Amino acid sequence: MRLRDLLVSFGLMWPANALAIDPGETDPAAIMAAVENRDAGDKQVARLQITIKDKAGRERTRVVQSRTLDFEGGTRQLIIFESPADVRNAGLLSVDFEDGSKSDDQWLWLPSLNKTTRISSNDKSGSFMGTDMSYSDMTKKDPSAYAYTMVDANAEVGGEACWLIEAKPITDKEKSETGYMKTHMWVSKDKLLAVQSKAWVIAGKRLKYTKMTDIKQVDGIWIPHKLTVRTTRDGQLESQSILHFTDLKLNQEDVVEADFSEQRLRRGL
Amino acid sequence: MLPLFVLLVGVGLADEDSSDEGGGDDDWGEDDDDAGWGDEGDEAGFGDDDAPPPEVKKAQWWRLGGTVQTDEAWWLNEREGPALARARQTLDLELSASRGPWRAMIEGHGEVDLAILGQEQWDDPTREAHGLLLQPRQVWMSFAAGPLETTVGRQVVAWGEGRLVSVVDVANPKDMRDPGMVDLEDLRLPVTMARASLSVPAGATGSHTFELASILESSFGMRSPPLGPYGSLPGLIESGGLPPDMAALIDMDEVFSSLDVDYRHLQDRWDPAHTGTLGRWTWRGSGVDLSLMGASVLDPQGVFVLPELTEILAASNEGGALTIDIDHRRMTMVGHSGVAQTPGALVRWEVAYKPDMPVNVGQIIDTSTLIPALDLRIDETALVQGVVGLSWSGWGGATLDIDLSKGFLIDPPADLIFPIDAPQWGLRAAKPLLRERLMLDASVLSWGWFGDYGALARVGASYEIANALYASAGAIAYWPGSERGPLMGFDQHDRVFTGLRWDF
Repeated sequence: MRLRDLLVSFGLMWPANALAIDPGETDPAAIMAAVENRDAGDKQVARLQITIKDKAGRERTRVVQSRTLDFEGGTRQLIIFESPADVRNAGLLSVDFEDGSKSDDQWLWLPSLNKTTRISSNDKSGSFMGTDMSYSDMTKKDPSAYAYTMVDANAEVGGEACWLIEAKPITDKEKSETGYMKTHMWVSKDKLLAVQSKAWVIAGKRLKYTKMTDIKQVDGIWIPHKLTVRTTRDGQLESQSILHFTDLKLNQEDVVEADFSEQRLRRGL
Repeated sequence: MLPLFVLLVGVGLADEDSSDEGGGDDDWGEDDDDAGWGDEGDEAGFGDDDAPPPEVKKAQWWRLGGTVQTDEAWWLNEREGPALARARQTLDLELSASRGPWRAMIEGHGEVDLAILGQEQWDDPTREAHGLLLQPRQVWMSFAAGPLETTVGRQVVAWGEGRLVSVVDVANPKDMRDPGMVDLEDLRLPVTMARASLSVPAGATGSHTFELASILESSFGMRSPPLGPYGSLPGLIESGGLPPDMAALIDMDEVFSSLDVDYRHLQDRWDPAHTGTLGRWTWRGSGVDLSLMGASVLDPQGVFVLPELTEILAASNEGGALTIDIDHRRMTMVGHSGVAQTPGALVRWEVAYKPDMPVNVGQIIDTSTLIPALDLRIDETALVQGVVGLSWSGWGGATLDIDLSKGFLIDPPADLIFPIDAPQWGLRAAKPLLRERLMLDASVLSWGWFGDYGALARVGASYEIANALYASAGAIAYWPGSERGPLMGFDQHDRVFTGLRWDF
């Protein structure tokens, strides 16, 4: 689970000066391969405020801090909860391997238990921190596990030229892990990132709408700082989550290996 | 309890994540149904792109927080006295600070149980243990120098991979006043220690952690007094079996009803001779964690030293007080624990070897003498214990933990009072609903394969009303079992409970 890959998986991060796809390209697989395999930067620190609203409009908020560091073959990430008070200083240390056949490692530190516990990383369709996002939304996708169809090569979102691409999982594993029957992604031709998506959720036949806004460059990389995810069923809004990235920085020299140890996990904020 | 359990399961089955799987590709309704995008500027936030990001206060280097909690419980069985089993009001305060390599924590705990305090049906020791409590909890200071961290003060060190049962978690005393009623996180009580830990990388993603600790305080936790709501002494003595002619003359319930009975730990709290020593090495690698640990500590459970039966009867006649001594002798533990990630679940295990485990032996009531007497002696035995556990998660965040434990005695004494080698198993299932706002859980603990030595079952639900404000409700039932076990006498103890908790 990587907060950075939350951005990557929706095609949200891409070097602004390194567009490798012609805006006239019509091969959806080529476009999505470029989106999935881009350089996403390294040594990231970020703060994330999550607001979860139910259909009655009642809100809950969570604030977390994160640090991310790449290693050969994967990424390490440390997430520490800042609020609410009942989970303050709870931490999650994860090692994500690019090799999809290898299980990720995740350890949870709960101050109330005074214990570091390995947790299972198998259940990827579950909700991430109670939001409308799943753990699967936060991992890189393997393009070979999808059949892509160009729905509209001249779509527009807010006046921005986009490709509208349908991604349909072709393996049972991918379908099971994502929980999606198919996904529509509006990929900006200018920024080469998905600015919105719509997913058909198998469980409960829901629709999940995601919109990325407040898109700014950080060290030359386009990064949306706000994600809004809405889940609907039979046309009715069930819940929505708003994720705000603040203090997001890349290439921070003080992000070092020692940040991703059990000791650092225990020390918290 | 059953209707509540059915209700909870019923809610779970009706949940969003469990229905309508499969089906055709396009039977979600209109494919171009774009209601989910909302309208420009709507409250869903899709149209308010110009809204500034929320102000989030920076974390301070110090923080004062805490928890306010109210817990109520009612007896389900018919029994003498009020139906209110618990009315505990709790306040925990925590002052923490972190600056550079330094960290510090001061915690205080206060509670009053209005169902016990001042209630005449309970004896003085019970009113003291359950009625009113003011205690320091974690009070420590820590300094980190690179990978080496030292912590001095009252702290908690949790060992092992067991989620419901552990045989290597010997560092801290526990609050065992209400078996099955408190959450695991509330069980461990801090104890004064000096601890050092060193973490070093192992390969690309793994780490070694070496930990040494010295326990400076002899603290044995809290347990319900012998005649308290969860005291098992009367059940223990009754299990010894008075001869019929004696039983006709002596009503043990009557004997105990006129007594104030309390426990006394024989070891002094601050005696340097009782210092405990702990050491552990842990390796966390790709897909597997392994630990080796060793400890020389005072037996946290302790063994009973009962007064003579004649003393009990004499004290009862005088309407006085009686003390039951608990002897916490030194014991050694060498252990190993591990957890491995498999495609389906986490597999967890623990093994402990305790070569000098103190045990009670005897017959409780020796009827071979002219005047029956309590015959409870102390001996020691070698014990090997193992735990195997599985943790599964799936189905929309549901979790299932199963732990199974069994002991093996090596050359044991002939007449052990308590079956310390008996199998024990536990099962806990939890299911989040409503975007983790509602959490349902159910658990079972059994001593013996089929509850022969006792069993308990608990169901509960917790609902997050607002940030860090939770309401909870549930029920717990006990079966004392047919053999002598930890729930002796728990035949009128089933309860329903409610709670409200706010963390700030």
